[in-house]
Amino acid sequence: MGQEHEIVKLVYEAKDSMERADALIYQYMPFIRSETAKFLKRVPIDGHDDELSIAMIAFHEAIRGYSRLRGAFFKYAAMVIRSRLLDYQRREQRHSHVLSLDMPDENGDGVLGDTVADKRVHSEEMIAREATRSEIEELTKQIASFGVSLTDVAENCPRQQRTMEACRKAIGFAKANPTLIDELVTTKRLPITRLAEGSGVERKTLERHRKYLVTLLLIYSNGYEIIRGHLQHLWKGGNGQ
Amino acid sequence: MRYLVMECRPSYAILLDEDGRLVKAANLHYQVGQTVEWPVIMREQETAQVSRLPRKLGATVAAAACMMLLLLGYYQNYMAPYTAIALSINPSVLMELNKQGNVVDLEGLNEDGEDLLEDYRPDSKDRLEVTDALIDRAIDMGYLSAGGRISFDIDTPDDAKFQQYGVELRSNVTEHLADRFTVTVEIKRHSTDDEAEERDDWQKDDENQSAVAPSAGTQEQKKPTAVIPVVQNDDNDDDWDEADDIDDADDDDNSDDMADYADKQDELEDDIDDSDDDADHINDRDDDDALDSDDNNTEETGLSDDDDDDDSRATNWNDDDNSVQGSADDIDDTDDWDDDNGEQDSELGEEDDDE
Repeated sequence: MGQEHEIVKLVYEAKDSMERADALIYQYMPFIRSETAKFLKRVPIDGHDDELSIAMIAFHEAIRGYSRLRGAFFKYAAMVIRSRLLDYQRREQRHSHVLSLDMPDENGDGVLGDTVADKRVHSEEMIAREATRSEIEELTKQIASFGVSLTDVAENCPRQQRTMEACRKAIGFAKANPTLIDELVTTKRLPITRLAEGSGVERKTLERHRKYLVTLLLIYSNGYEIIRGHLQHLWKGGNGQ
Repeated sequence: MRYLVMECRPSYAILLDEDGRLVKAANLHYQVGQTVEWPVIMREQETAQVSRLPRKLGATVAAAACMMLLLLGYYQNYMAPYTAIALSINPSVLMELNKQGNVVDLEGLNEDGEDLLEDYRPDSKDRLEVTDALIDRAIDMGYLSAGGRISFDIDTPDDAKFQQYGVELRSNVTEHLADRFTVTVEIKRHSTDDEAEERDDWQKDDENQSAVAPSAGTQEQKKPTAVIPVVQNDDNDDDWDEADDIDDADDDDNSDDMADYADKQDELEDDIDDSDDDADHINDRDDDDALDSDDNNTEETGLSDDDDDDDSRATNWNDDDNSVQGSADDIDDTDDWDDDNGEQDSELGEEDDDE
């Protein structure tokens, strides 16, 4: 009982912070591993089995979704993990007709992967990925100077379609008026009033998603071409600019 | 949809989708800068919140429902009036009892009754104690004196309760007043409209027999511990006759109960009857009845013969008013059973007024 109280306290503390949840997961890795093992009916291998990662994200969900009313935390977490793994397994079954590259080939003297011609150029891909990575690191650094982390942005990201539309409108307005973005970069303050007036979006909506807007506007400041290229869908729907 | 891996943590990864959303997902051995297609995205809390509210609500509602049930049970057992006993001396008081037989409410049915209850704070919920206290008050206030009559009109859906209360009240009042003076105690069951109809049916069946013979029902007449055959005033006469009529009519419905009950009562009160010299007339009459009922001892038959007895008694009481009583007899004897009691009352009343 005393232990249960302790874990409940920890879980409630970890609800608001992904970092704390991360630490909690590290602490309870053996539990997650054992739940995964129960599901797979074998010991999962670190860095190889996707199921383990999925069990971890399920543990995150359990931390978020837990409430004292739901009984003991570990029972609840075990249930969430199991159902998440089951979901994953069902999804994978849809692709079960896909052959594995690791399967032995017809002759039995190699794996299937060796016989497939790889059209992609690995070296170029590696270079592109490296470039993307440096861009992302740059962005992470820049938003850190605004006191924002990518995890924060993920938390702060609009979920409703309508809110997303509103944010998109605001970003579109800022894109058309680069002075706003310049102002953001120099003053490190989001010109919410002008954004709201210019785009016709309610000030409250913008304030609520401040971190998200800051990040997106920074992406549209300068550099970050790769990320910007990735966001091609952003303007396809709605009010494409 | 393609996702750009933005950040990798041991337990999760942050991905940017093509719509500009940043999401958390399972880190399936991703590297920053990689593009992935089928991530396992972390489900956010919304669904949990949605499902949590009704659960809370459900628990609250269930708890409330339990409380309501408990309260309802308590209310039905302890607070809801189950039995009503109208105590009439001349002041009439309505006592409401719960299922446990405790007094839950007292109400004056006429001005005197309200007068009787004024300033009365029952210090007990016990029906007998309250009854005793009310009778004492009635005596103190001059409503009840020797030869008076106390009538209990019991309205309860439960036959067993009616019997129990009847026996109890009678013996209690008799005991309570034993040292002081004698009064007539009368127990009857409150009649409703349904019962009145039933009564009519009974009456049709028994009409012929009843014309002939007195019966077990007459034993009920013995119940009064003692009757002092002194007329106190004319109004009282009226009340008594009326009461008897109702009483007799009710006997039809509860004749079984009443027969048992009367037997019990007889046992209880025979002693008193015997020892009571004042009740000569009645005793004589009772003897007659006893003889009669030997002739005809079926239970229900001739309940209406009580009328005859009443009337004979009434004539005893009212030696002076023979004319009035005579006409009252006529009414009763001409099988006016079906008439409302009220109608009879009014006729009697008129006659009285004429006098």
